[in-house]
Amino acid sequence: MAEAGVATVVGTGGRRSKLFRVGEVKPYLFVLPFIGLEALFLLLPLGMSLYYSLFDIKYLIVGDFVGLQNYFEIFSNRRFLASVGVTMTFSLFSLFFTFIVGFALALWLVKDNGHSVFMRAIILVPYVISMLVGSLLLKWVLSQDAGLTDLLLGPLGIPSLSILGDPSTAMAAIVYNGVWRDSAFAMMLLMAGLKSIPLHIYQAAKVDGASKLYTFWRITLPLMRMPILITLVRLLLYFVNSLTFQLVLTGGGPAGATTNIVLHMYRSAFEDSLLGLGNAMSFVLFLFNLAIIAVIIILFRVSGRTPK
Amino acid sequence: MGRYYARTLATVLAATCSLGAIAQANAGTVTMWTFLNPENTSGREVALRNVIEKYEANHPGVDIVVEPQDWATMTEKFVLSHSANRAPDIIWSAQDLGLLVNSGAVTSLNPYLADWLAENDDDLLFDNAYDNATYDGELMAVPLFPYSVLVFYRKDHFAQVGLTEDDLDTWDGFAAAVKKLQDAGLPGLLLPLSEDKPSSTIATTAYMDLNDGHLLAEGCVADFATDIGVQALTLQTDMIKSGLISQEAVARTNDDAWDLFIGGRGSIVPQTSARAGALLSSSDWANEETVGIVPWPSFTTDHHGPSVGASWQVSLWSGSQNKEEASDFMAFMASEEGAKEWAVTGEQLPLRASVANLPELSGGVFALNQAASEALNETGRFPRPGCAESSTMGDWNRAAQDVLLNGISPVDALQEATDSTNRRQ
Amino acid sequence: MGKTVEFCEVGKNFGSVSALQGLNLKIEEGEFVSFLGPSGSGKTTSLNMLAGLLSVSAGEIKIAGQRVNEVPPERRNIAMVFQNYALYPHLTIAENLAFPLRARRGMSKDEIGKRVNDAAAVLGVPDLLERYPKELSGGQQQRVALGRALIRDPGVLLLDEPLSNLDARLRIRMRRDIKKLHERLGATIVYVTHDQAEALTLSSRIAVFNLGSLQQFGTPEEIYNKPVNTFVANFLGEREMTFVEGSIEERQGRQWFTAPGVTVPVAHETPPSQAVTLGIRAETLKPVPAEGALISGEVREVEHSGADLILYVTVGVQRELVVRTEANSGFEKGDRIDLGLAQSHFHLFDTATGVALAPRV
Repeated sequence: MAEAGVATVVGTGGRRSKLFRVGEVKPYLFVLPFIGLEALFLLLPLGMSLYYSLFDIKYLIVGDFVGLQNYFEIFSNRRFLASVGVTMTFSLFSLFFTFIVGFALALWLVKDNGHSVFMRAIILVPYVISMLVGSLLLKWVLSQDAGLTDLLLGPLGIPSLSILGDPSTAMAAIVYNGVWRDSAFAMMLLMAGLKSIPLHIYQAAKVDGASKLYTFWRITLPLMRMPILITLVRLLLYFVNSLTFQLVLTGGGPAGATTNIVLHMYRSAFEDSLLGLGNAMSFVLFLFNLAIIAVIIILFRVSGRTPK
Repeated sequence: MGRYYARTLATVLAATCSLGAIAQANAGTVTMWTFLNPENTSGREVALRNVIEKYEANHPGVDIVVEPQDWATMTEKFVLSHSANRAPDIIWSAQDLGLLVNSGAVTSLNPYLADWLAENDDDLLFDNAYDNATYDGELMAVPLFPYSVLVFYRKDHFAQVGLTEDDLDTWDGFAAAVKKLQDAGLPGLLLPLSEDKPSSTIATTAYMDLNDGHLLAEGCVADFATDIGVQALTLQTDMIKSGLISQEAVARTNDDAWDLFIGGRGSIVPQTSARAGALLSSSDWANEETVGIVPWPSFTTDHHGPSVGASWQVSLWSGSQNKEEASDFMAFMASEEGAKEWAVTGEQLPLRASVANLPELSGGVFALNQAASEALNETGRFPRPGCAESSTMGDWNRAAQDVLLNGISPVDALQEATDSTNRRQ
Repeated sequence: MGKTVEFCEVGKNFGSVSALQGLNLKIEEGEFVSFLGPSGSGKTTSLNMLAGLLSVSAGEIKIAGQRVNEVPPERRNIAMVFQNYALYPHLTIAENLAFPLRARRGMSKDEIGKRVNDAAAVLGVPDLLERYPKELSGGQQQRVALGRALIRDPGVLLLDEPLSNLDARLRIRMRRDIKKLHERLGATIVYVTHDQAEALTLSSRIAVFNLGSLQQFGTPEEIYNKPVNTFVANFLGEREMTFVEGSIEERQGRQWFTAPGVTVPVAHETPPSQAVTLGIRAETLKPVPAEGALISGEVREVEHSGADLILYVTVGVQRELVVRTEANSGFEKGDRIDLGLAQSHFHLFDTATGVALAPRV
């Protein structure tokens, strides 16, 4: 690229600045609208969120400038710190199971036959229905008095239990909700990756004497690096920032056992009407998200060489 | 609160949002924001249409324009519109009157309705609702649909095990009644103990009872971590520990508990009296013979426990150019004619003694309304003006959960509830 | 050492479509056999069944005398080179070469390293071991693919159009390399191609396929000189064969093939008056003096192809024959030309069936 650029400059005999030649301004004009949109819908709200996080806001009335006091309050609040723990527990468990289940489904249904198409459609159902409905449905299914759990577990000799009334089983319930919904999403992303691996590579491995397991570890997994990275990042961001499961299925309870950062933020901002505090939390959450992406990408860089 | 200057987040929003629909001050046109739509067919909406038609027939020069709103965001939208000086003349509110008053968006009704109030004082019920709408001697709203959180119970289940509503007079009797129902294999007590969509519970009711009927002290200050706080909270947690309340209750919102009751899976449930009509229409078992409404228990037999009251009420925009016409229509809505329309067609609690005794108001939902009306008149305690109390019930539920599930002591749990509530004021 | 390969009445159906019927073939130890045919002829299907990548619908396939229909590819002791090489893009050349050894386990690291280095040396790619496939030229990738196939001394080596992605010169060089490798290793090789020149130069025997069935199986000489039918006759050779439809007549005690403009003596096992087709390749005829000529005509077009001169000759009414002659023969457009037989006999076929008629000895 650099050589070509120099050649052009020499060729035209000019000494004009490279940046402002007509030929090179044009490309920037094409991306300008999108940078503008990005600024309007991403950078502006982000900046506003940072700005208002420095004020004491109650209801919709902007009060005193309080500097970083909202941030100090967040990090000295036991419940906020607990919500960070809940977010991590929920995200990591959900990520683990969703990825495993999604990958298994993708491997199972990657062939385009009638059976696979039918099963894919069924598996996609929880992903395409609104989780406001899905989580509510699950809430009633898991309810002790009106649900199915006693009906299903009773015959096995398991005594009646309140799944949503106990902190650890409530966490399991929202993890289940997350896995139930997003396995299909993981399946689609990973299946797209699997389909991009040419068939003859697998045929070559077969003829070369590789067992199915060996082929999976040495051929499929390495060639799926990018799809796997994308899937992990998308899922993790999704789980870290999820609200519906917690809000609808468990209401963040019991005793805060399923209140994640987003729900805590939502409550502070919209139920307690403490918008300054809520904005501070949203900014912290934003940094948290950035950190997660950075960590995953670094992990992938470190863990293997990639051919150019 | 007073220190907040009026630069709101929303000036920006208000300028961009499509609020242009608000009519400019036309003499003779009164605009009103409410969650009811007079074009619809539900009881209260038909009643509103009738009230408006009657008023317009009596006042040929006046045009009442209703702009239906989403009830959850109506108050905040009104404050924003007030900042932009383009608000409607009349605004409905339920628990947000404090916000409307503190933001200066609504004005005192004394200059317009003082005489009317004096003339009608004897006939108007629910003094506590009027007290609640009065700030420093100034009436800021006219109550229209008062309601309070009372105890619904199954008359038929009670009869089966030989219980009567008198057994619910005291907490001991209450606990014994639940035990008796359980032992007979009948559904028991449903209590919403989730932080999400909370409502009055045993603990908050007992605390109010022991705290002179108030949840918060003067100036909206909470101080729950006291002996009476612990006594109230422990009363409730002991009932859970002894199995009188299922542990699942900590996952139940007010709506969950109510849905279970409608489904026949409870014999006792606290609920707002406003839902009596919905109960009769959405379940096949419920009628005035099978379901009753009683006040909350207390620690002694000499009085009932307090119930948290509230009311949909109408206020006058401080920037209105039609204050005379608007306040006159507000008074008409609470007049004998208006009150009759709300009570008969709208199935609301009767606002006036003269209306309460009408022969039309007997049987069915009217029987339940009458019981609710009496209980509200006797035990209704309205939140202190300007205090944000609705989430405080959630703070108490969280305290109960922390005691039961996280092993936190009642005092510490109540201290956190105190801090959460105070942070919000 | 190479193994025998046997197809016994092998057939393959894809749903209701039959891709191969009744294939019978026996390949001896260490033989180099080409499967030759146009696309859709069943040659690749046969190869994939032999490799185990496709199931067998009918009949049985044997390697070293053992039925392998139910044996998975990894246990058939075969190796395969794919048309597009199928190198593993995420592995270095060394790792690609070592893959078949590692996948089977049981071989020491040192032994694997030694074999990889040996293979790289034999194939002339020793300095590319740490590169990735993408960084190699097509010819280099081809060598690596060959090396990966040969690294564990397979009993049977399968090559699926291995040279079709290379340019013409590289293809001819690789042809020789493959032939040398075969001589060195002694493995049985099955080589699928649609290029008759490749098949003729490399193979010890050629199997010609068309429309899902085997047409002829024999040495290159047999296939070229004694094609069993018009399809084989036409498919072999650099140019298309010219076919002239006519009949046989007995005159003066001899057989004559007659068609408008073409009357030549033949000596074939055929009853007189039967409808027959005469097949003429470019090298069947040669210019002769006028008195010994079988056919005469006019040169219509002259084409130089390096050492040879290709003449398009019109005989009779609008009939065109192709004649190859020496570059210095000096014919020009418009010349009159007399042609005689350059080989021992003409190819003669039954017009109705296309089956070759044997020359009378």
